[in-house]
Amino acid sequence: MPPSTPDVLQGTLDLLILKALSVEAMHGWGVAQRIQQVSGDVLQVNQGSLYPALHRLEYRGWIAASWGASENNRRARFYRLTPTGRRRLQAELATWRKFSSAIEMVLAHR
Amino acid sequence: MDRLRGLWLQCRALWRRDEAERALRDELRDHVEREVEAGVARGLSRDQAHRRALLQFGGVERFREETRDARGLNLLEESCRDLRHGWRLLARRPTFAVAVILTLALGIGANTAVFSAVYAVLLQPSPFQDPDRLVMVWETDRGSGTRHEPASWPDVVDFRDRSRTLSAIGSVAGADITLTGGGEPERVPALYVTPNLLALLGVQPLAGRLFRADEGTIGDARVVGASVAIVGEGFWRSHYRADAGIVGRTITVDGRPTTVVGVAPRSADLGIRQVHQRADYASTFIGDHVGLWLAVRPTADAFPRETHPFLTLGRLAPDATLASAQDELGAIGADLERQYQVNKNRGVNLESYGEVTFGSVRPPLVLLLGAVTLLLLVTCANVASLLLARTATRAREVALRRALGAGPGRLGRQFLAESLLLVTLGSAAGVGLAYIGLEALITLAPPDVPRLDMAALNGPVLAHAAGLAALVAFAFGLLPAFQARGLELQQMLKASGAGRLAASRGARRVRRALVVSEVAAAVMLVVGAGVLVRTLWRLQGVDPGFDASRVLKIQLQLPANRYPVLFSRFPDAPEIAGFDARLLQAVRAIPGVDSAALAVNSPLESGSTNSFAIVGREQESAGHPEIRTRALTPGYLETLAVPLLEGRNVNAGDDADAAPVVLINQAAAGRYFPDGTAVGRQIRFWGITRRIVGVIGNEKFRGVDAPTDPAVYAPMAQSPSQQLTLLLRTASADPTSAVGGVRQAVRGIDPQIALYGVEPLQAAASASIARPRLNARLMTLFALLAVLLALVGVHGVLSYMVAERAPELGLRMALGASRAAVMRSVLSDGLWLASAGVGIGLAGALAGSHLLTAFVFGVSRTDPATFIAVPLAVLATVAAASLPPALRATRVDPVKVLRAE
Repeated sequence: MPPSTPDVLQGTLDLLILKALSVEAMHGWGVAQRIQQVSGDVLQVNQGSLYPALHRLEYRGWIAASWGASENNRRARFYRLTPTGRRRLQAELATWRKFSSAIEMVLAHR
Repeated sequence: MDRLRGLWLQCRALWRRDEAERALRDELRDHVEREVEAGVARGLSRDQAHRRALLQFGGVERFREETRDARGLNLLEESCRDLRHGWRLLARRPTFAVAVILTLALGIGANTAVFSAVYAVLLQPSPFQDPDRLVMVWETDRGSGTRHEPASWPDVVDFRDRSRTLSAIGSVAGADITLTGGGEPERVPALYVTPNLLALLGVQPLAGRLFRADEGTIGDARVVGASVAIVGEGFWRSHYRADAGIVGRTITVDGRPTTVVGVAPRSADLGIRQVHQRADYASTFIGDHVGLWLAVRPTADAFPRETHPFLTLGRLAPDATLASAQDELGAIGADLERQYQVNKNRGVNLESYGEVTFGSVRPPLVLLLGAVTLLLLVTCANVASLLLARTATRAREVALRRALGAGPGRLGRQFLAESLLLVTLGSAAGVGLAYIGLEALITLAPPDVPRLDMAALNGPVLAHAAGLAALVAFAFGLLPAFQARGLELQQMLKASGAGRLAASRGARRVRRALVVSEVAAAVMLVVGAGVLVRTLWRLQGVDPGFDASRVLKIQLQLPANRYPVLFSRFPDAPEIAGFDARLLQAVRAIPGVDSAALAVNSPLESGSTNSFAIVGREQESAGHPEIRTRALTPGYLETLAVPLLEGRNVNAGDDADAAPVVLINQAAAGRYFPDGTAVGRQIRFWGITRRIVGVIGNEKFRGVDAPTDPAVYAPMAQSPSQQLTLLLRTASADPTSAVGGVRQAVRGIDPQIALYGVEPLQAAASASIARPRLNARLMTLFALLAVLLALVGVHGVLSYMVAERAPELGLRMALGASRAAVMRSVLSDGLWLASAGVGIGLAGALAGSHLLTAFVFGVSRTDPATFIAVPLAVLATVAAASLPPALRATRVDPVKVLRAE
């Protein structure tokens, strides 16, 4: 694993998962791939945190899961966003934007 | 909505663990496979791709664990760990554990035992259909002031035919019958009932059927229809081995062939006994349960309007209330009074059947329930303060765990698990105690408490105990957890090396409040017990008017067909007179029998009443209440040591051929002949004019707590009775030694006659105050336990405070404070706690004293002696309990303490 690749920041994984699922329902591997691709391989989702997070979000009712057939007819567990999850994503996004712009402001300050 | 779904999923995952695990495994395998494929697509060999995928994945186990955590599975495993941890902690401090468990066992055990009695008697479902709609129909007599008289048959018929508020009405009368044909003749507790009675109650037969409307004897011994019977469940089990084949068989009742048509459940006689007790007079009903129900269809010929044998029950019509039925039947009664001369002064009094059945037992049960609740409160307070003190000594552990990241929730769970463990063990021990306690309660209780024999540790009772335990566990578990919240590591590390933390002010205040409330609850119990014990002493101190010691009581019933009382030749009944004479002669010859006599009623039975007239004062006599009519043979006064105050005793010469004579008691003489001229005057009752020959002392035949009614005593030879009570005074302290001889004597005269009610009169006398005695005993027991626990509480809190204040005390002594001053400060602390508790307890006792109204006799419910003595005694014992900690305080070594600092 290249040392330059940062682990996903603690606490932001939920946000990333919700965002990834807001586009379409997908399985766990797909979520990891999506985050990695979109971030230009910068964000590597540690699988060890991915599945606990997925289950946690499911129990909170933000995402729902069901077994379905994926490409070439393999069984896979598909996750999709629930209405509550969608609202949650909006809230998390707003928080994140505020937070990151605050960091940006601090760093830009001379 | 989504959140609920999530929770549901979580619960299901917990429940169906295997399924969830399998799903997780499948999902992970899928993930790895995809990773491998992606690697192959990038040009790696399959092996390389697989290795890299696994590497990237990291420890599969570790993250399975994390996923499980998210699922909530670990809560369960952690709880198991908490329990194991709790167990180890308890095992390390067995004294503490045993103290808590025993204390809880006392509180929960006492509660469970009393609740099981309350449940059996008051709460369990009624055997009757719509029991709230059942009423007792009593007749009243304004002349005698009686309000609970059985009804006459013609009156019952008029009520039945005219009433619209009662949809059904049925009657009961006690039956003095003897069962023969199977070895020893046996007197069976039996009832004559109108054929509709069991159906009116809504009783379902266990076997066979209930009576049909056209079945039953006419009711009087001389006029016989087809005799049919329903066997009671208890009798069915004990005599017929619960054989359903008994239905259709013929048994011999009073020498009459009687067909059994069905079996009634044991519960069908609920209230019968209480109804008999409630009645101002009634035919006797002896025994705990009805053995035989005999159908009777009375006629006005056999039971004219002037005789009142029928205890009568009604069922309210759907739109009627007790009040509307009372109005209607009162009006019918008034009509009958106008219509018939014999109904002069008569009225109707309706009471709810449930009130008659349970009215007298509800107050004592509620009182006991209150007492055990207070006891439970004391128990809880005690355990809580024990736990609090322990939490404080565990402060170091708690603070460390918090510093290492254990959240308050985690710690709370730990404490909850520990107290759950304690409470579970305590409750289990408590249920064991309850089992023993309940047995004792049933044995000690007077037999007239309805349904008490059905009390058991059954489902509802155990559920109640479990509920109590859960409540207690929850309260105790959270208390230390709250306390633990306030602990900070820094504070902890600053504390001395004793492993103990100066408790926060809040915790200290809570502990003191607990002790004060313990003392208060104990004082309330002790005051209550004190008043009841004083009542019992008063009752025991009452002179019953006779001496029951060394007297044996045996009852007999002569069968009416062979020992008739014919009105054509009344009072001559040669068969009965012959039997009486032979029996007395035979029993007087038994070695060890000093004297013997016969009577109709034992001196503890109130017997029957009758209207009477004083010859020459007939006009005035019409307004007199009925007088108690009793009968005796010569020898009665000697046997029972009843004093003859004036005139002469009856003697052998006062037989059926001699001029009728009578004795009266002091109450009658004082009321009707206040000028002391009773002897020589004539009174008339039962249609016979009798001359008063003597005045005797008052026997307390209505119970020691009731005043003696005026009574007349006719010689048995001049007032023959088939119901006999044999009274023997024996030389031996154990009068039952004569029973064998009596049995033999009776068999020698007439082998068909059954003996019953065989017991020392002293036992019967003591049974007559069984209820106040039981109340006093139980209250005393609970009060003593409460005081003991309160003492443990006071002692514990003071000891703890002394230990906590050791540095301060040491310093003070080092600075020159005297040992006496140190001791005083600890003692005064204890006394302050006690005084606060006693004050609150007294106020509570005063406020709750109205609960005692139904139980006191001869003392005020706010008995000053009790209210003064109890607090003083409690203060003194609490002071004694604070002495050891106070002494310990004086032994604090200043040097050692200062060095430790």
